[in-house]
Amino acid sequence: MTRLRMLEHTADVGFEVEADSLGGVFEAAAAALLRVLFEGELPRRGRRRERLALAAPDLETLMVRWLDELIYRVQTRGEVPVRTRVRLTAAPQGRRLEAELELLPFEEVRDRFAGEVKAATYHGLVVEEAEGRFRARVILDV
Amino acid sequence: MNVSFVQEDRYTFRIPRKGKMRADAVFFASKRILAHLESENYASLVQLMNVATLPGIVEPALAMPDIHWGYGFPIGGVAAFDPEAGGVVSPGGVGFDINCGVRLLASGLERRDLEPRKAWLADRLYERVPAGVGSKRRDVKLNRRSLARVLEEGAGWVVRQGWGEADDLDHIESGGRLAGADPGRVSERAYERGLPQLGTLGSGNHFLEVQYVEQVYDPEVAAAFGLREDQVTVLIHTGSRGLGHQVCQDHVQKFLQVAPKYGIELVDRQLAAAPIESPEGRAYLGAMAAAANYAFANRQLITHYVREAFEAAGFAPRDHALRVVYDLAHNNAKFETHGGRRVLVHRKGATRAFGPGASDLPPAYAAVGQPVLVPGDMGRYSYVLVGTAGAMEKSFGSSCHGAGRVLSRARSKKQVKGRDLVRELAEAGIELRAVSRRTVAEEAPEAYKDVAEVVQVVEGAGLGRRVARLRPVIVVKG
Repeated sequence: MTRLRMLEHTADVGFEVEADSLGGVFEAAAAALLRVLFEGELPRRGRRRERLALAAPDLETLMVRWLDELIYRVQTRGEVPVRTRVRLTAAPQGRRLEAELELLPFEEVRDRFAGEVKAATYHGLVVEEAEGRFRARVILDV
Repeated sequence: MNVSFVQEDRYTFRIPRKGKMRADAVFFASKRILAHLESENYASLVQLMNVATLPGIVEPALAMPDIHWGYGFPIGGVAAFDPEAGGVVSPGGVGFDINCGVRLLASGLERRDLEPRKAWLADRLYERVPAGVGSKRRDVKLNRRSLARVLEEGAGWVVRQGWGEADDLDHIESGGRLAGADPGRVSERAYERGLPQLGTLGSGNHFLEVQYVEQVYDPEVAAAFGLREDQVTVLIHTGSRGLGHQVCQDHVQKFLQVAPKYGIELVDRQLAAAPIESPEGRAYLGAMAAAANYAFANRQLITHYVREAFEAAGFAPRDHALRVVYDLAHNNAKFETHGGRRVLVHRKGATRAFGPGASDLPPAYAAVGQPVLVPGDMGRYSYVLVGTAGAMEKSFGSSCHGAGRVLSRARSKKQVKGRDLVRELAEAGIELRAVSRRTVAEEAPEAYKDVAEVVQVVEGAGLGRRVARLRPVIVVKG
């Protein structure tokens, strides 16, 4: 089961997500990002699929890279990752993320766009396992 | 959170050095602003104390009265670092939107000239200045080579293409070009993000506002700035767009890797830093200056389209006579001399406020001090201040950059739910054009402190002096 809670922050926007797996936390973080970027429900199926691989020395850095990558896809490539499937594995120097993205052209959901996000920050960033559940807390610069 | 501070005078508060702090921290506030800080559990003051832990900091770490909780540095944070004393540069002390800033234009029009064509002008501005995500200029074709020129030359490049007047450049902080820009330090992804976005506003708290001068407080300085009552002005607030965000992202990641190598202990990872005099520090400064130049060029190109919009609304160039009063940065790091030392001053959500006789001022302002532009919120007013000798002594020549938020975006939306803000503003005489209704709700006037309160503290603390108050009549939001 996945949980998502938006956090109050005076200047920026934050969220906390919880899931049964580490991959699930990264998927939930992507969903939380979309909730900041768009109003209302987005279609669950994309028009195009793409695979993505990222690596980082630790989980927090991987989370920032993951969210920054998705922000870039929306803002520069004009593609919205409406659905993500994420798998995490150990890498020689840290962690590796492999994802399958289902992408929808931004133009199709432009009317629901709510405002830009500049980047994910390291401020107060947490990605952790506690009692068999996985949790992340992220502040986005908007 | 446990934050102890002492009050030094009516508006000045000091947090004495403790724990890992290498310097005291000083902030400027009124009783009401102090109450806001307390209501956020002093989170922004803790961030200020964190800034004071960075190596080579020149005392004190400072926060302006529009201080609020950010990431890494607080918004409103100012900190100077001495390169000779192992001082560092931190992308978190500049922010993701490098050289986000404001530009004030003054026109030859009076409020009564504008009134009959206000709605028409609002539409023309909204058409000609792309805003919101995915906004692109289809009429400005840049390639990688020309973008590298923009990164090197800043606003000057835009003017040389015919989109502006040579005189515009004389009224921009640092002439619209930060020295030391190194386009080679800007990543390919940053280029990709920057290519389609030059001349676009963005969203969030970025805006384009047409105003009139409602009140002049200091006629002599106002005259030096070319401002008079009832005059129509334009304020442009935007930055370096995706290119700047990417430069910050790239270098925070690099600095996190190298900070341990330089023995820099980070109490917050968003404060990732490297010595100014290190290969990584110099690389960031080169990329940051390039992104700053993109932002200067961005505001210059938008100025061109604002002029076009006025012409499309029926104001001939000789009538609107739009000229740049000043353009200044909210988010950057600059080498300056303070107290006889060459230091790197980080300003994040803070503005330079150089006083009379300071270097790097347009000749016309050298005797009075630089214009300090302080946007408020879209429903109330903004201020023009002038930099003072007090700012040079107390705050590394810095002042506030705006009103500062008091409500989170979520709370602001909740508070205005069910209200028609567009109509409310129209009833107050303000034409609003916005890409997103949610941005409008998030940017509601009550989401911000009354900027008059912030300005009162700035003036009371001697960091700036009021020159004029501007009232909005047209607001364009992303």
